[in-house]
Amino acid sequence: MTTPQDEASVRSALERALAEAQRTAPSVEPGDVRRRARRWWRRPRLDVTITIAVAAVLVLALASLLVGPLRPGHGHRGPRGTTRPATTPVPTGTMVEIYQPFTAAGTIDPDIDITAHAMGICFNGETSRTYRCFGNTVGDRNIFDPCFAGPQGTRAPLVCPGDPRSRTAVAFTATSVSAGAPSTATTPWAIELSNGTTCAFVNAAWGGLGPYDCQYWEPSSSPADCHVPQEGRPTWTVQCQTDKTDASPFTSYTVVTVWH
Amino acid sequence: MSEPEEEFDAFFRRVWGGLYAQAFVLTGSREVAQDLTQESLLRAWKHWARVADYDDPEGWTRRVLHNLCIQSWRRSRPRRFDPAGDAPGTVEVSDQHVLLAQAMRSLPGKQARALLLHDGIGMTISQTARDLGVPDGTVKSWLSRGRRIVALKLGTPSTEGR
Repeated sequence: MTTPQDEASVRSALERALAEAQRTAPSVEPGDVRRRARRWWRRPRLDVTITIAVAAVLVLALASLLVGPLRPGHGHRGPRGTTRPATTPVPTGTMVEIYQPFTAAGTIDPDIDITAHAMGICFNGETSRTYRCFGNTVGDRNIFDPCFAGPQGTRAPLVCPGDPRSRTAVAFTATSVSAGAPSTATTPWAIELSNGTTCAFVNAAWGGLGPYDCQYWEPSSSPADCHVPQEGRPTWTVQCQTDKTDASPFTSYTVVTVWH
Repeated sequence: MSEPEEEFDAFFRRVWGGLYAQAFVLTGSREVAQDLTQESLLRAWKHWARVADYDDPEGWTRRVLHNLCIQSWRRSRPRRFDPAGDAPGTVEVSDQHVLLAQAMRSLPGKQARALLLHDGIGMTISQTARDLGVPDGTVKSWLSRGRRIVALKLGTPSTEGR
């Protein structure tokens, strides 16, 4: 149990720190932030977009030959989205973004903050350009999913992002890669809810819940997990649970951003 | 300037200081606090057409900011001012504030947020519970545990049970 002395000392420390920080807050103009938004939303380079589009068409053609024609509307893994530009703002609705951590030259985009390096084995992931990798431990994590391959495939380090809003990532060197046809799934690998929580698609050892884990990057986030979002125009929605238990009721959230 | 820009700028000027202060308490670093506060407001601007219609745009931005701060805990630690190493113009962070930031980040993220919302910025238990998406009783329990841990780390230990 806490005591009145604890409460008073914590309140006092918090209030002092908040007051001093507010008094000495740096001067930042809103226009500076709006200009950053324009830089953030810059259109992708044409050559990058064309490369992705051509690769996607080839992969889809190969997949059609192997597994037969894809039926639109059958399940949530249709061929939509694979040729979208890197950033597709939907006015006043859900933002659909394609995570593109590489430059046209195949190097890691300098905007991505590589916080660590890891090495190990990788398996084909949820999409044609992503992998699920197991490597040496970085922080408390040794499973990296998804990891994105650039134009050089797994011959160059993969980029395994953290929370997509943070622009941080781990550079992963694949020592071996599993055989098999790449998947053409287009399920977003991450979604951002209207309460600011970001959820990651997880595809293994997940006990039947999810498949989006909202405590993947931040263990205390709420809700805890979500179903696959329902694509809507202009706004996507998703059903989520406060706790990772079967009994936890579902609540509908608006999806602010999806990342492919 | 367009109407949304004017509206956003007014919102920005109203909330900037308070949000920056909260980020400072959660991160213990003025540079990180400034960067994350800008990032949260950038996201508010990106989604302004919708965020502006929310009942509480500041609450939305605050939740994004708090999540960013808690995510940043894994990448950095609060540190004292280093005259040799810090950039020119860096403002000194007192030992007491570094201690407070270290104490806050020793808590689970939601407990730290509960403490900041209730004991720091004066939200009621119910408002804090709504913001965190948990029952009132959970907030009370988090506050109790959080205060005890923070008080201990600040060097003002509880005398209960002695």
